[in-house]
Amino acid sequence: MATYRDLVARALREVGELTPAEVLAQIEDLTILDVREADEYEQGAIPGARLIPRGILERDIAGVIPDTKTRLVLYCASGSRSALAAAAVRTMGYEDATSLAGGFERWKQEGHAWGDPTGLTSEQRTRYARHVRLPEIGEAGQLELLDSKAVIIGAGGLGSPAAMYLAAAGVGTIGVVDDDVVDASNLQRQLLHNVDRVGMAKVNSARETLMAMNPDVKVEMHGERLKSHNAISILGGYDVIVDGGDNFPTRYLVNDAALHLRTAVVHGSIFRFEGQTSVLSPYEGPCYRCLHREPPPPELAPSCAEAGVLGVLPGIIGSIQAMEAIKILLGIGDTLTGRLLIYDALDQDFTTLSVARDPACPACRDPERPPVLVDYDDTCRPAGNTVRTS
Amino acid sequence: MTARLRLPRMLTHSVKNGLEHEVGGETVREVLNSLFEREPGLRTHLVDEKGEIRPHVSVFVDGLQARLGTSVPERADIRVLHAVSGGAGLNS
Repeated sequence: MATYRDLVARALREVGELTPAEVLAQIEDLTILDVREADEYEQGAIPGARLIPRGILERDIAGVIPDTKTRLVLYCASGSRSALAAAAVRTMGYEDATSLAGGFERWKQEGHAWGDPTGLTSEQRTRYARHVRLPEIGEAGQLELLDSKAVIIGAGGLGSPAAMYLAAAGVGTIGVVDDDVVDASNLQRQLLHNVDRVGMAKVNSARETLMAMNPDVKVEMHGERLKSHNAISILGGYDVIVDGGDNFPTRYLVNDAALHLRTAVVHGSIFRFEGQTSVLSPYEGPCYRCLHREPPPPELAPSCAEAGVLGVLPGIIGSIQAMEAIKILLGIGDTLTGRLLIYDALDQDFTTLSVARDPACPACRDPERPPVLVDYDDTCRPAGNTVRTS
Repeated sequence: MTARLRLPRMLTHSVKNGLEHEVGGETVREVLNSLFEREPGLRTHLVDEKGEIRPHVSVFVDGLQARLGTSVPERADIRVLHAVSGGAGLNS
Protein backbone atom coordinates (compact mmCIF):
# COMPACT_ATOMS: atom_id res chain seq x y z
CA MET A 1 0.00 0.00 0.00
CA ALA A 2 1.23 3.50 -0.80
CA THR A 3 1.19 5.97 2.08
CA TYR A 4 0.49 9.69 1.88
CA ARG A 5 4.25 10.28 2.05
CA ASP A 6 4.78 7.91 -0.85
CA LEU A 7 2.17 9.76 -2.92
CA VAL A 8 3.71 13.14 -2.14
CA ALA A 9 7.21 11.87 -2.95
CA ARG A 10 6.02 10.43 -6.25
CA ALA A 11 4.23 13.67 -7.11
CA LEU A 12 7.31 15.72 -6.27
CA ARG A 13 9.45 13.58 -8.55
CA GLU A 14 7.03 14.35 -11.34
CA VAL A 15 6.33 18.06 -10.83
CA GLY A 16 9.55 19.25 -9.17
CA GLU A 17 9.80 22.23 -6.91
CA LEU A 18 10.85 25.86 -7.00
CA THR A 19 12.35 27.47 -3.92
CA PRO A 20 10.94 30.82 -2.77
CA ALA A 21 14.01 32.56 -4.18
CA GLU A 22 13.55 30.85 -7.57
CA VAL A 23 9.91 31.89 -7.62
CA LEU A 24 10.81 35.51 -6.88
CA ALA A 25 13.48 35.47 -9.61
CA GLN A 26 10.90 34.35 -12.21
CA ILE A 27 7.80 35.98 -10.73
CA GLU A 28 6.97 37.91 -13.92
CA ASP A 29 6.57 34.64 -15.83
CA LEU A 30 4.72 32.70 -13.15
CA THR A 31 1.13 32.45 -12.04
CA ILE A 32 0.94 31.59 -8.35
CA LEU A 33 -1.94 29.43 -7.21
CA ASP A 34 -2.79 29.04 -3.54
CA VAL A 35 -4.42 25.62 -3.09
CA ARG A 36 -5.08 25.92 0.65
CA GLU A 37 -8.55 26.32 2.11
CA ALA A 38 -10.18 29.76 2.01
CA ASP A 39 -9.83 30.28 5.78
CA GLU A 40 -6.07 29.65 5.59
CA TYR A 41 -5.75 32.02 2.64
CA GLU A 42 -7.61 34.79 4.41
CA GLN A 43 -5.09 34.74 7.25
CA GLY A 44 -2.24 35.55 4.92
CA ALA A 45 -1.05 34.75 1.42
CA ILE A 46 1.67 35.45 -1.13
CA PRO A 47 0.92 38.74 -2.91
CA GLY A 48 -0.78 38.20 -6.26
CA ALA A 49 -1.63 34.56 -5.56
CA ARG A 50 -4.96 33.31 -6.81
CA LEU A 51 -6.93 31.00 -4.58
CA ILE A 52 -8.38 27.71 -5.80
CA PRO A 53 -8.69 25.31 -2.84
CA ARG A 54 -7.36 21.80 -3.48
CA GLY A 55 -10.87 20.30 -3.19
CA ILE A 56 -12.24 22.22 -6.20
CA LEU A 57 -9.01 22.67 -8.16
CA GLU A 58 -9.81 20.31 -11.02
CA ARG A 59 -13.32 21.73 -11.28
CA ASP A 60 -12.36 25.40 -11.36
CA ILE A 61 -8.90 25.70 -12.85
CA ALA A 62 -9.99 25.90 -16.49
CA GLY A 63 -12.23 28.84 -15.64
CA VAL A 64 -9.51 30.71 -13.75
CA ILE A 65 -6.52 29.73 -15.93
CA PRO A 66 -7.85 28.94 -19.42
CA ASP A 67 -4.39 28.69 -21.01
CA THR A 68 -2.84 25.31 -20.18
CA LYS A 69 0.58 26.63 -21.27
CA THR A 70 0.64 29.01 -18.28
CA ARG A 71 3.62 28.48 -15.98
CA LEU A 72 2.04 27.62 -12.66
CA VAL A 73 3.54 27.36 -9.22
CA LEU A 74 1.20 25.93 -6.63
CA TYR A 75 1.60 26.30 -2.91
CA CYS A 76 0.00 25.11 0.29
CA ALA A 77 1.15 25.36 3.90
CA SER A 78 4.14 23.02 3.68
CA GLY A 79 4.50 21.87 0.08
CA SER A 80 2.76 18.47 0.21
CA ARG A 81 -0.80 19.23 -0.88
CA SER A 82 0.55 21.53 -3.59
CA ALA A 83 2.75 18.74 -4.99
CA LEU A 84 -0.29 16.48 -5.28
CA ALA A 85 -2.31 19.34 -6.73
CA ALA A 86 0.38 20.14 -9.32
CA ALA A 87 0.46 16.49 -10.38
CA ALA A 88 -3.33 16.53 -10.74
CA VAL A 89 -3.41 19.60 -12.97
CA ARG A 90 -0.54 18.20 -15.05
CA THR A 91 -2.84 15.33 -15.96
CA MET A 92 -5.30 17.97 -17.17
CA GLY A 93 -2.72 19.43 -19.54
CA TYR A 94 -1.00 22.07 -17.37
CA GLU A 95 2.42 20.63 -18.11
CA ASP A 96 4.30 23.53 -16.57
CA ALA A 97 2.77 23.17 -13.10
CA THR A 98 5.18 22.85 -10.21
CA SER A 99 5.17 23.21 -6.43
CA LEU A 100 6.64 25.74 -4.02
CA ALA A 101 9.28 24.03 -1.85
CA GLY A 102 8.36 24.24 1.83
CA GLY A 103 5.09 25.99 1.03
CA PHE A 104 3.86 29.17 2.67
CA GLU A 105 5.61 28.38 5.98
CA ARG A 106 9.06 28.40 4.37
CA TRP A 107 8.13 31.50 2.36
CA LYS A 108 7.38 33.35 5.60
CA GLN A 109 10.41 31.93 7.44
CA GLU A 110 12.70 33.27 4.72
CA GLY A 111 11.21 36.72 5.26
CA HIS A 112 9.55 37.15 1.86
CA ALA A 113 6.60 39.49 1.49
CA TRP A 114 3.17 38.22 2.41
CA GLY A 115 0.08 39.79 3.81
CA ASP A 116 -3.63 39.81 4.23
CA PRO A 117 -4.88 38.97 0.80
CA THR A 118 -6.83 41.78 -0.73
CA GLY A 119 -9.01 39.01 -2.05
CA LEU A 120 -12.65 38.21 -1.50
CA THR A 121 -13.97 37.02 1.85
CA SER A 122 -15.36 33.51 1.97
CA GLU A 123 -18.91 34.95 1.91
CA GLN A 124 -18.03 37.01 -1.16
CA ARG A 125 -16.42 34.04 -2.81
CA THR A 126 -19.71 32.20 -2.47
CA ARG A 127 -21.86 35.17 -3.49
CA TYR A 128 -19.84 35.98 -6.60
CA ALA A 129 -18.83 32.40 -7.47
CA ARG A 130 -20.43 32.58 -10.94
CA HIS A 131 -18.53 35.78 -11.72
CA VAL A 132 -15.23 34.48 -10.39
CA ARG A 133 -15.48 31.44 -12.64
CA LEU A 134 -15.60 33.65 -15.73
CA PRO A 135 -12.03 34.12 -17.00
CA GLU A 136 -12.94 37.66 -18.10
CA ILE A 137 -13.82 38.58 -14.51
CA GLY A 138 -12.17 36.24 -12.01
CA GLU A 139 -11.38 37.28 -8.48
CA ALA A 140 -9.42 40.33 -9.65
CA GLY A 141 -12.37 41.56 -11.72
CA GLN A 142 -14.78 41.03 -8.87
CA LEU A 143 -12.50 43.04 -6.59
CA GLU A 144 -12.46 45.76 -9.24
CA LEU A 145 -16.26 45.82 -9.28
CA LEU A 146 -16.35 46.05 -5.49
CA ASP A 147 -14.01 49.01 -5.75
CA SER A 148 -16.08 50.69 -8.50
CA LYS A 149 -18.57 53.51 -8.30
CA ALA A 150 -21.60 53.87 -10.57
CA VAL A 151 -24.24 56.58 -10.46
CA ILE A 152 -27.75 56.11 -11.79
CA ILE A 153 -29.85 59.03 -12.93
CA GLY A 154 -33.45 58.18 -12.05
CA ALA A 155 -34.73 55.42 -9.78
CA GLY A 156 -37.51 54.67 -12.26
CA GLY A 157 -38.19 52.15 -14.99
CA LEU A 158 -34.66 52.06 -16.40
CA GLY A 159 -32.88 52.84 -13.15
CA SER A 160 -34.57 49.97 -11.30
CA PRO A 161 -33.11 47.01 -13.20
CA ALA A 162 -29.84 48.86 -13.78
CA ALA A 163 -29.37 49.56 -10.06
CA MET A 164 -30.51 46.09 -9.01
CA TYR A 165 -28.17 44.25 -11.38
CA LEU A 166 -25.24 46.50 -10.49
CA ALA A 167 -25.92 45.93 -6.79
CA ALA A 168 -26.27 42.18 -7.25
CA ALA A 169 -23.03 42.18 -9.25
CA GLY A 170 -21.22 43.80 -6.34
CA VAL A 171 -20.51 47.25 -7.75
CA GLY A 172 -19.27 48.65 -4.45
CA THR A 173 -20.75 52.13 -4.53
CA ILE A 174 -24.00 53.00 -6.28
CA GLY A 175 -25.25 56.57 -6.36
CA VAL A 176 -28.94 57.13 -7.04
CA VAL A 177 -30.17 60.54 -8.21
CA ASP A 178 -33.92 61.16 -7.98
CA ASP A 179 -36.01 63.85 -6.34
CA ASP A 180 -39.33 62.04 -6.68
CA VAL A 181 -41.49 59.94 -4.38
CA VAL A 182 -42.90 56.50 -5.16
CA ASP A 183 -46.32 56.65 -6.83
CA ALA A 184 -48.71 53.74 -7.26
CA SER A 185 -48.54 54.18 -11.04
CA ASN A 186 -44.78 53.46 -10.91
CA LEU A 187 -45.18 49.90 -9.67
CA GLN A 188 -46.12 48.49 -13.10
CA ARG A 189 -42.42 48.73 -14.08
CA GLN A 190 -40.20 50.22 -11.35
CA LEU A 191 -39.04 47.10 -9.55
CA LEU A 192 -37.02 48.95 -6.91
CA HIS A 193 -40.24 50.00 -5.19
CA ASN A 194 -43.28 48.28 -3.71
CA VAL A 195 -46.77 48.93 -2.41
CA ASP A 196 -45.60 49.68 1.13
CA ARG A 197 -43.34 52.45 -0.12
CA VAL A 198 -45.87 54.57 -1.99
CA GLY A 199 -45.18 58.14 -0.87
CA MET A 200 -41.60 57.37 0.20
CA ALA A 201 -38.68 59.18 -1.44
CA LYS A 202 -37.48 57.01 -4.31
CA VAL A 203 -33.85 57.25 -3.21
CA ASN A 204 -34.79 55.83 0.21
CA SER A 205 -36.84 53.06 -1.35
CA ALA A 206 -33.99 52.27 -3.75
CA ARG A 207 -31.50 52.13 -0.89
CA GLU A 208 -33.67 49.71 1.10
CA THR A 209 -34.03 47.38 -1.88
CA LEU A 210 -30.36 47.46 -2.87
CA MET A 211 -29.03 47.02 0.67
CA ALA A 212 -31.35 44.04 1.18
CA MET A 213 -30.00 42.48 -2.03
CA ASN A 214 -26.34 42.92 -1.23
CA PRO A 215 -24.80 44.25 1.98
CA ASP A 216 -21.46 44.74 0.18
CA VAL A 217 -22.92 47.73 -1.63
CA LYS A 218 -22.81 51.28 -0.34
CA VAL A 219 -25.77 53.28 -1.66
CA GLU A 220 -25.31 57.04 -1.91
CA MET A 221 -28.62 58.87 -2.07
CA HIS A 222 -28.92 62.10 -4.02
CA GLY A 223 -32.52 63.13 -3.43
CA GLU A 224 -32.39 66.18 -5.61
CA ARG A 225 -32.95 67.09 -9.23
CA LEU A 226 -29.80 67.22 -11.32
CA LYS A 227 -29.12 70.88 -12.12
CA SER A 228 -26.25 72.87 -13.57
CA HIS A 229 -25.08 73.94 -10.08
CA ASN A 230 -24.92 70.40 -8.64
CA ALA A 231 -24.19 68.21 -11.67
CA ILE A 232 -20.41 68.15 -11.26
CA SER A 233 -20.49 67.66 -7.50
CA ILE A 234 -23.03 64.82 -7.76
CA LEU A 235 -21.58 63.01 -10.79
CA GLY A 236 -17.90 63.66 -10.09
CA GLY A 237 -16.10 60.77 -8.45
CA TYR A 238 -18.16 58.06 -10.14
CA ASP A 239 -16.57 55.73 -12.68
CA VAL A 240 -19.64 55.45 -14.91
CA ILE A 241 -22.97 57.26 -15.28
CA VAL A 242 -26.13 55.30 -16.11
CA ASP A 243 -28.69 57.67 -17.60
CA GLY A 244 -32.22 56.51 -16.93
CA GLY A 245 -33.60 60.05 -16.84
CA ASP A 246 -37.07 60.96 -17.98
CA ASN A 247 -36.72 64.33 -19.67
CA PHE A 248 -34.58 65.98 -22.33
CA PRO A 249 -33.17 68.91 -20.27
CA THR A 250 -31.64 66.42 -17.79
CA ARG A 251 -30.28 64.20 -20.57
CA TYR A 252 -28.48 67.10 -22.26
CA LEU A 253 -27.16 68.30 -18.88
CA VAL A 254 -25.88 64.79 -18.05
CA ASN A 255 -24.16 64.73 -21.45
CA ASP A 256 -22.49 68.10 -20.86
CA ALA A 257 -21.38 67.26 -17.31
CA ALA A 258 -19.97 63.93 -18.51
CA LEU A 259 -17.88 65.80 -21.10
CA HIS A 260 -16.45 67.96 -18.28
CA LEU A 261 -15.75 64.88 -16.16
CA ARG A 262 -14.70 62.65 -19.09
CA THR A 263 -16.95 59.94 -17.65
CA ALA A 264 -18.80 57.50 -19.89
CA VAL A 265 -22.60 57.65 -19.95
CA VAL A 266 -24.67 54.53 -20.55
CA HIS A 267 -27.72 56.00 -22.23
CA GLY A 268 -31.14 54.39 -22.23
CA SER A 269 -34.51 55.69 -23.33
CA ILE A 270 -37.88 54.11 -24.01
CA PHE A 271 -41.20 54.88 -25.58
CA ARG A 272 -44.24 52.60 -25.74
CA PHE A 273 -42.72 49.40 -27.19
CA GLU A 274 -39.37 50.73 -28.38
CA GLY A 275 -36.11 51.38 -26.59
CA GLN A 276 -32.71 52.87 -27.44
CA THR A 277 -29.42 52.37 -25.66
CA SER A 278 -25.84 53.41 -26.32
CA VAL A 279 -22.57 54.21 -24.58
CA LEU A 280 -21.46 57.82 -24.85
CA SER A 281 -17.70 57.82 -24.24
CA PRO A 282 -16.46 61.42 -24.08
CA TYR A 283 -14.24 62.35 -27.01
CA GLU A 284 -13.86 58.69 -28.07
CA GLY A 285 -17.31 58.21 -29.55
CA PRO A 286 -20.29 60.41 -30.25
CA CYS A 287 -21.97 62.33 -27.43
CA TYR A 288 -25.72 62.67 -27.02
CA ARG A 289 -25.71 65.90 -29.00
CA CYS A 290 -23.86 64.21 -31.90
CA LEU A 291 -26.76 61.78 -32.01
CA HIS A 292 -29.62 64.21 -31.41
CA ARG A 293 -28.57 67.80 -32.01
CA GLU A 294 -31.75 69.06 -30.32
CA PRO A 295 -34.79 67.46 -28.71
CA PRO A 296 -38.12 67.40 -30.54
CA PRO A 297 -40.41 70.34 -29.87
CA PRO A 298 -42.98 69.41 -27.20
CA GLU A 299 -45.83 69.09 -29.72
CA LEU A 300 -43.86 66.36 -31.56
CA ALA A 301 -42.75 64.49 -28.43
CA PRO A 302 -45.48 62.99 -26.30
CA SER A 303 -44.19 61.77 -22.94
CA CYS A 304 -44.46 58.21 -21.65
CA ALA A 305 -47.15 59.38 -19.23
CA GLU A 306 -49.25 60.45 -22.21
CA ALA A 307 -48.30 57.66 -24.57
CA GLY A 308 -47.80 54.72 -22.21
CA VAL A 309 -45.01 52.18 -21.97
CA LEU A 310 -45.06 48.41 -21.63
CA GLY A 311 -43.59 47.69 -18.19
CA VAL A 312 -41.13 45.01 -19.31
CA LEU A 313 -39.50 47.33 -21.85
CA PRO A 314 -37.48 49.41 -19.35
CA GLY A 315 -36.54 46.11 -17.71
CA ILE A 316 -34.83 45.00 -20.93
CA ILE A 317 -33.17 48.32 -21.76
CA GLY A 318 -32.16 48.97 -18.14
CA SER A 319 -30.62 45.50 -17.94
CA ILE A 320 -28.58 46.18 -21.08
CA GLN A 321 -27.45 49.43 -19.46
CA ALA A 322 -26.27 47.46 -16.41
CA MET A 323 -24.38 45.08 -18.70
CA GLU A 324 -22.65 47.94 -20.51
CA ALA A 325 -21.79 49.64 -17.21
CA ILE A 326 -20.15 46.47 -15.91
CA LYS A 327 -18.19 46.05 -19.17
CA ILE A 328 -16.95 49.63 -18.84
CA LEU A 329 -15.98 49.14 -15.19
CA LEU A 330 -14.07 45.96 -16.02
CA GLY A 331 -12.71 47.07 -19.38
CA ILE A 332 -13.99 43.92 -21.10
CA GLY A 333 -15.72 43.31 -24.42
CA ASP A 334 -16.87 45.84 -26.99
CA THR A 335 -19.21 48.43 -25.54
CA LEU A 336 -21.91 50.26 -27.45
CA THR A 337 -19.57 53.24 -27.95
CA GLY A 338 -20.32 54.53 -31.45
CA ARG A 339 -23.32 52.27 -31.78
CA LEU A 340 -26.97 52.70 -30.97
CA LEU A 341 -29.00 49.62 -30.14
CA ILE A 342 -32.68 49.83 -30.99
CA TYR A 343 -35.07 47.31 -29.49
CA ASP A 344 -38.58 46.78 -30.82
CA ALA A 345 -40.61 44.71 -28.37
CA LEU A 346 -43.56 44.02 -30.68
CA ASP A 347 -41.36 42.72 -33.49
CA GLN A 348 -38.90 41.24 -30.96
CA ASP A 349 -36.13 42.80 -32.99
CA PHE A 350 -32.73 44.27 -32.07
CA THR A 351 -31.01 46.56 -34.57
CA THR A 352 -27.57 48.12 -34.15
CA LEU A 353 -26.86 51.40 -35.91
CA SER A 354 -23.46 53.08 -36.26
CA VAL A 355 -23.15 56.63 -34.98
CA ALA A 356 -20.01 58.68 -35.58
CA ARG A 357 -18.77 61.73 -33.71
CA ASP A 358 -20.02 64.89 -35.35
CA PRO A 359 -16.96 67.10 -36.07
CA ALA A 360 -19.24 70.13 -35.82
CA CYS A 361 -20.95 69.02 -32.59
CA PRO A 362 -21.40 72.10 -30.41
CA ALA A 363 -20.89 70.01 -27.27
CA CYS A 364 -17.90 67.77 -27.97
CA ARG A 365 -16.02 69.10 -31.02
CA ASP A 366 -13.24 70.60 -28.83
CA PRO A 367 -12.08 68.56 -25.83
CA GLU A 368 -10.53 71.66 -24.28
CA ARG A 369 -13.79 73.62 -24.50
CA PRO A 370 -16.62 71.58 -22.97
CA PRO A 371 -20.13 73.03 -22.93
CA VAL A 372 -21.16 75.67 -20.41
CA LEU A 373 -23.39 73.95 -17.85
CA VAL A 374 -26.85 75.51 -17.84
CA ASP A 375 -30.35 74.54 -16.77
CA TYR A 376 -31.85 73.89 -20.17
CA ASP A 377 -35.42 74.77 -21.07
CA ASP A 378 -37.40 72.46 -23.35
CA THR A 379 -35.42 73.52 -26.42
CA CYS A 380 -32.06 72.42 -24.88
CA ARG A 381 -30.25 74.83 -27.21
CA PRO A 382 -26.47 74.85 -26.78
CA ALA A 383 -25.37 77.67 -24.49
CA GLY A 384 -21.76 77.93 -25.64
CA ASN A 385 -18.50 76.50 -24.40
CA THR A 386 -16.07 77.19 -21.63
CA VAL A 387 -12.39 76.60 -20.97
CA ARG A 388 -11.71 73.24 -19.41
CA THR A 389 -10.66 73.59 -15.80
CA SER A 390 -10.06 69.96 -14.94
CA MET B 1 -33.38 52.50 -56.57
CA THR B 2 -35.84 50.86 -54.25
CA ALA B 3 -35.12 50.75 -50.55
CA ARG B 4 -36.87 49.39 -47.51
CA LEU B 5 -37.61 52.13 -44.99
CA ARG B 6 -38.58 51.58 -41.37
CA LEU B 7 -40.12 54.30 -39.19
CA PRO B 8 -40.03 54.47 -35.39
CA ARG B 9 -43.12 53.34 -33.50
CA MET B 10 -43.45 56.85 -32.14
CA LEU B 11 -44.90 57.79 -35.54
CA THR B 12 -47.52 55.01 -35.58
CA HIS B 13 -50.34 57.54 -35.36
CA SER B 14 -48.96 59.77 -38.10
CA VAL B 15 -49.01 57.15 -40.87
CA LYS B 16 -51.81 55.60 -42.87
CA ASN B 17 -49.92 52.67 -44.38
CA GLY B 18 -47.83 51.32 -41.54
CA LEU B 19 -44.26 51.78 -40.39
CA GLU B 20 -42.49 49.86 -43.18
CA HIS B 21 -42.36 51.12 -46.74
CA GLU B 22 -40.75 50.20 -50.04
CA VAL B 23 -39.62 53.55 -51.43
CA GLY B 24 -37.71 54.71 -54.48
CA GLY B 25 -34.98 57.34 -54.73
CA GLU B 26 -31.29 57.84 -55.47
CA THR B 27 -30.64 59.84 -52.30
CA VAL B 28 -32.10 60.13 -48.81
CA ARG B 29 -33.78 63.37 -49.91
CA GLU B 30 -35.53 61.61 -52.82
CA VAL B 31 -36.52 58.66 -50.65
CA LEU B 32 -38.07 60.96 -48.05
CA ASN B 33 -39.94 62.88 -50.75
CA SER B 34 -41.34 59.60 -52.11
CA LEU B 35 -42.36 58.71 -48.57
CA PHE B 36 -44.12 62.05 -48.04
CA GLU B 37 -46.19 61.54 -51.20
CA ARG B 38 -47.51 58.37 -49.64
CA GLU B 39 -47.56 59.61 -46.04
CA PRO B 40 -48.07 63.37 -46.08
CA GLY B 41 -48.54 63.44 -42.28
CA LEU B 42 -44.88 62.54 -41.79
CA ARG B 43 -43.39 65.64 -43.40
CA THR B 44 -43.77 67.89 -40.37
CA HIS B 45 -42.29 65.20 -38.09
CA LEU B 46 -39.19 64.52 -40.14
CA VAL B 47 -38.19 67.73 -41.92
CA ASP B 48 -38.46 71.44 -41.17
CA GLU B 49 -39.91 74.21 -43.34
CA LYS B 50 -36.72 74.32 -45.43
CA GLY B 51 -36.82 70.60 -46.04
CA GLU B 52 -33.87 69.88 -43.75
CA ILE B 53 -33.96 66.81 -41.49
CA ARG B 54 -35.12 67.97 -38.06
CA PRO B 55 -32.39 68.01 -35.40
CA HIS B 56 -34.11 65.34 -33.27
CA VAL B 57 -34.42 62.96 -36.23
CA SER B 58 -31.66 60.76 -37.63
CA VAL B 59 -31.68 58.70 -40.80
CA PHE B 60 -29.50 55.60 -41.22
CA VAL B 61 -28.75 53.89 -44.53
CA ASP B 62 -27.61 50.30 -44.09
CA GLY B 63 -26.82 51.01 -40.45
CA LEU B 64 -24.76 54.16 -41.06
CA GLN B 65 -25.85 57.67 -40.14
CA ALA B 66 -26.84 59.52 -43.32
CA ARG B 67 -27.63 63.02 -44.54
CA LEU B 68 -30.09 64.24 -47.18
CA GLY B 69 -27.46 63.90 -49.92
CA THR B 70 -26.38 60.38 -48.98
CA SER B 71 -26.78 57.90 -51.85
CA VAL B 72 -29.18 55.04 -51.39
CA PRO B 73 -28.00 51.73 -52.86
CA GLU B 74 -30.46 49.27 -54.37
CA ARG B 75 -32.26 47.25 -51.66
CA ALA B 76 -30.83 49.46 -48.92
CA ASP B 77 -32.26 49.31 -45.42
CA ILE B 78 -33.20 52.78 -44.26
CA ARG B 79 -34.01 53.42 -40.64
CA VAL B 80 -35.50 56.62 -39.31
CA LEU B 81 -34.84 57.40 -35.66
CA HIS B 82 -36.51 59.85 -33.32
CA ALA B 83 -35.03 61.18 -30.05
CA VAL B 84 -36.82 59.67 -27.08
CA SER B 85 -36.69 61.14 -23.59
CA GLY B 86 -38.50 58.50 -21.62
CA GLY B 87 -37.06 56.56 -18.72
CA ALA B 88 -40.52 55.66 -17.42
CA GLY B 89 -40.08 57.85 -14.37
CA LEU B 90 -43.00 59.57 -12.70
CA ASN B 91 -42.95 62.52 -15.03
CA SER B 92 -42.18 60.77 -18.26
